[in-house]
Amino acid sequence: MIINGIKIEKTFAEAFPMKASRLIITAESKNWLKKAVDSMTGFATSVIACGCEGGIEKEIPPSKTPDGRPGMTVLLFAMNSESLAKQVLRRVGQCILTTPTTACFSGLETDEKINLGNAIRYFGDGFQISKRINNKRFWRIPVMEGEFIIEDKTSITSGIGGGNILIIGTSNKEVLKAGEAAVKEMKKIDNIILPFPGGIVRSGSKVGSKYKNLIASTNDAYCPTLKGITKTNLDKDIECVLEIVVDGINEKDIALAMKKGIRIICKKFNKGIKSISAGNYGGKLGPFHFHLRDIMK
Amino acid sequence: MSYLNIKLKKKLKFRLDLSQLIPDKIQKKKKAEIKTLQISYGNEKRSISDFFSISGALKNGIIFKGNLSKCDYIGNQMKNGEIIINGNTGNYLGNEMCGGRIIVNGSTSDYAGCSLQGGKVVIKKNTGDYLGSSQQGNKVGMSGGILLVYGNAGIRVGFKMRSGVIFIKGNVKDFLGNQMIAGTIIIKGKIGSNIGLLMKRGTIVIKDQKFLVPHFNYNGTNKYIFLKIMEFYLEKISKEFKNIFPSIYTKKYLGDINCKGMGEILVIS
Repeated sequence: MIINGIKIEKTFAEAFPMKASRLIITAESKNWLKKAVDSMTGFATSVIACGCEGGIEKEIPPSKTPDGRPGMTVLLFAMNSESLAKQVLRRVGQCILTTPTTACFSGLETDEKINLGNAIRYFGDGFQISKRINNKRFWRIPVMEGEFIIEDKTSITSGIGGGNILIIGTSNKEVLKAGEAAVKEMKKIDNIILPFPGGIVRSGSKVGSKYKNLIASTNDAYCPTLKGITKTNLDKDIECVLEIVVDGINEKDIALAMKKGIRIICKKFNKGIKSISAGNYGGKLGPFHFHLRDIMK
Repeated sequence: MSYLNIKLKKKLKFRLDLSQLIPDKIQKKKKAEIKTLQISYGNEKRSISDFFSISGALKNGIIFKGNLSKCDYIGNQMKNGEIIINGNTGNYLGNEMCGGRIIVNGSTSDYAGCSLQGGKVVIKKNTGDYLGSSQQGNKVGMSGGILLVYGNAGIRVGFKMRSGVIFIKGNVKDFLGNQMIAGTIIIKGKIGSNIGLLMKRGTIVIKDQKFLVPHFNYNGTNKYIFLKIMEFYLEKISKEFKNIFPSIYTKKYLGDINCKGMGEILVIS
């Protein structure tokens, strides 16, 4: 399949099941809101070493947030419910509680609940106040600035991690430009996040390593500087490969995001781009396979 | 919309217990069966048809008509459905009610919303004493639901209140939030003396006015975001609540210090 001169490889992105949670963060101004969510999702690029993957899902206008202030939804993904619960508490406790003017609410309603304010309330040292509004419990935790409002519980649901596309091109500059355009387009889709900085990752990994202690190492088949010495997947003229990883709550939205990203590259940013591929591990890693050519049909 | 219309036929000499007449209890009964339901009148048992004429069908709820100021326990332990009262009612309106809605196009006597657990009670005129309180001798008062009063209320509003929201557009008399355990009371009008006496926790929101609270500590002014969350929730229930908190920057008093309470009085300027 060739779209506008770019080859869509006959391959698939291989994704795996995860657990996901959505939080709504609000603050007095967009400035402080951004600082809070950036801090919360900052070191959350990969479950390999961050404990979870996280990112900003979307902005919410004040009219749609629980407290009428600017808001953002954040999605966090982890391999199981226990580690997700732990990460949610750590990140809310250290990044949201600490940021001036913020408040934190659950953005998901399922039967599987995890503690949110119910655990963080103890920071109030007995001065915390519970308020039950519309069958939901909120905690008002006194802080030096005034009060921090946080919902008692949040929900978790099944998620999918590891949807991805690889942008392969002959120029560093053009591949990065195409990646940026794709990220911008993909971010318009709800229920997904792009967990890496700016949505793009340059250090795609393969499973395992020659070093015993490492569970992942550089994906040498896609490293342009190793073309001559490894079993490469790249043509001679390739200078750069960038990956966009997509985590989402459902397959449909991950596939849609991948499609939108590939489409914008092919349509407007095809200069210097030779092909679009995807990372997989031969079907051994996860049950979710996003076949690029099926997605682009 | 079809309602079961229950109209009072004559003036009552004694008090009448209408706890039997809730949608949950009579929805499967035929009209003839409803008419023969036994209710307490003073200290004797009488049929409903002795006092009321009944017409219509119970699909959406019940409409009571006439001066029911001697009729007690309307909506007692109601779980769902709607009761509309076109007139005044007696004591214990919505007693131990768990769900549904009661609208009184008139005034009520004492103990309206007593031990309320859920649902919504709207009183378009005034109400008596002990609104949303506990039954005498019980430890816990209202523990959920919403009480909305357009007029004034008597003494001991929210006595031993445990949860839920009481909103009063008019004035209230003394001992507001007496022995309150939790929940929220919002008063738009004036308050009487001894507000929050022996209050343990919970929130009373009042407008700025002269009042004396020697049993509370002043804790300065600040912004309380939870008031906005509450306003948005209440707005969805009734347009009456729109902009009830024009400012969320309030004075805060904590007490009752005599019982080491952490109850709060928020004063909106």
